[in-house]
Amino acid sequence: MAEKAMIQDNTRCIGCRACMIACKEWNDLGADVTDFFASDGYQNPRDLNENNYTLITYREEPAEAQWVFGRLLCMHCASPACASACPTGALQKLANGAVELTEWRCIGCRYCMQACPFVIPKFDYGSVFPKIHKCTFCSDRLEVGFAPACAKVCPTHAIEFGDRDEMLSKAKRRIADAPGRYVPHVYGETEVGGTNVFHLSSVPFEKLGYETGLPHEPLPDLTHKSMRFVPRIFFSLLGAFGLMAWIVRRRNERMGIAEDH
Amino acid sequence: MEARRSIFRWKSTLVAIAIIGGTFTLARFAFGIGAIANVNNAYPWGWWVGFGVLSFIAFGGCGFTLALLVEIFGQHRYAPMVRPAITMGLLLYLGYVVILMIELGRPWMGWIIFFSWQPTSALFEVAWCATLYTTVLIIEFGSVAANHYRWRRSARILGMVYLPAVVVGVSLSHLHQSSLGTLLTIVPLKVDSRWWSEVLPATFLTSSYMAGLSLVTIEHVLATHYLRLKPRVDLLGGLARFQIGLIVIFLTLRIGSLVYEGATDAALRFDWLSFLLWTEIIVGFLVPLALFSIPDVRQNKWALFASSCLLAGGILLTRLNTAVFGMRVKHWESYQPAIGEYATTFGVLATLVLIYGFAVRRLPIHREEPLDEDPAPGIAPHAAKAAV
Repeated sequence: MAEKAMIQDNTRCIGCRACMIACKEWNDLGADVTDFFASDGYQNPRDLNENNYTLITYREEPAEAQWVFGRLLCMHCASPACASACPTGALQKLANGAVELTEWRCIGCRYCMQACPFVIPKFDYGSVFPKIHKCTFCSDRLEVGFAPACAKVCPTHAIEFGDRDEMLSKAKRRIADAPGRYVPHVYGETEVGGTNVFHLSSVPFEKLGYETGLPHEPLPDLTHKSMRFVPRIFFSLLGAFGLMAWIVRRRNERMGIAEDH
Repeated sequence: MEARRSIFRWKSTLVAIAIIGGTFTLARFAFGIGAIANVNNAYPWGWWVGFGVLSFIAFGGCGFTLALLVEIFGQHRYAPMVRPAITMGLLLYLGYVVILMIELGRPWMGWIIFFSWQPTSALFEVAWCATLYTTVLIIEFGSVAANHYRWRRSARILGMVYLPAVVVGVSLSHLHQSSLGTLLTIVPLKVDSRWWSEVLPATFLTSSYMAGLSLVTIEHVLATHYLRLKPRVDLLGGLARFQIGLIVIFLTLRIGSLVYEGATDAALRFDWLSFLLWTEIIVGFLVPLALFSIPDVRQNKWALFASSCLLAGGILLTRLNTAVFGMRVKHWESYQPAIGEYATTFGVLATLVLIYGFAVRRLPIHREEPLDEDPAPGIAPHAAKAAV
């Protein structure tokens, strides 16, 4: 299957939250007891959690005197920091573009949450048998040729789904065709080495509460800089220390120093 | 009499801390992590990882540091320090495993790490190396026990594998002590610029040597004091000389990376994190460096004890600053460690101290000569005051 991607065109979003409901239905997620909270968005619940793999955020933009919407979901990075950090291989980047979690392999170390630059994976701390929760890209639907549930139901085509190359050129074309409507940036094209979800917006992305100022290099490269030397360092140390220990022991034997450790 | 009463008071306090920790641990398994801890969706690690994992392993580095010094660099005169170091190292690694079982969300799946292949994950590497190294510590400790109790067959087998085990153990330790730093290199956006750097693996490795030597010094002074043995101040002074070199290397890396990463402006900002940064560097490293450089300090056990405590505090602070206080996620959630997080980690620590106190009186861990003079209580405390 060709590598897939999604466009999240926030200028087309009307905040109906059909994507959230479709996501809950397909992934069989529960309901939340929600609370009112102050500041930073008017959506409810406030953030992704074990019952919400995607969330429409509501903000008021005074300059436009209207709502601006954003959407939280896994970005399905091209080089995912979470999958690189996972010690058990529970998170994998699939050929179809999805970053998939194999639940039973998860040990609950929460390194993926720590590593994710978008603060996406969530953990049900209240549970005695907790696990990591995040958007699946509806990988199971992709396997049988369906689009993800959220893309399927979106009534305004704010969410579109298709091959990655096609989606990226489409996103760019939209900005080029209507420069007044969009900020000139496809969020997800270069962020942390590129992702499989492209966001478009009418206001700068920081106003939507998106993580901005992300590097263009994949984050796993940072760890890889030292991790790739590990086998070499191990065998060099083993050789060097082994040799030194052997010399020291011979010297001790010759000088008659008793074994005393 | 007085010393005995004071030990009893210490012991009851430690038992109380351990019981409180145990209670919180039961609550964690009965009601979930959220019931006792403040770790949340933005700050998933917190105190458990900063203290229970990063710091326990740093100080558990005493085992490999002394093995490196004595068995590999051939500094044989430090041999009397090896047994306490191995015993403390083993206990701290076991303590780390206990905290990991509390901290992991799904500890019953922990075994799967040994049936995975994730060479890109620093945590995968730490888990493998730390487990293998704990096995090495058991072999090293077992070899001492077998020799002492004259279990001939075990002693012969363990004697044969002892040196290879030391070599493997020291190599493994270099890997996982540095990989603990690598753990945090993937989060440049979350760790404050004053602590994040690409040389975290190198600073973590250097500070683990220092942590090991500090802990050995602290233990030696306390154990010889309470067991009424002759302290080997000459050896402690020698360790202090190594500490000088290590602190210089550490500070060079630390300040160098601070400048290289462009965090000098942040470091000179007047805020809470800069206060922590300068406390760490001045009180935790520069003051011990100055103290260790004074020849009189290197000949006074209580002065060495105090300097080592400062240095140990500096290492603890630098790790907590990196993983807990300096961790700032651009998000609406905030994090302060909960009582339950303190209680569980201190509970494990108190249990380790109790076990060590028991072991040090029953096992031939310290073989220094007894004190000749009349063991009048009060001599040492005066010396302590004079030194501090």
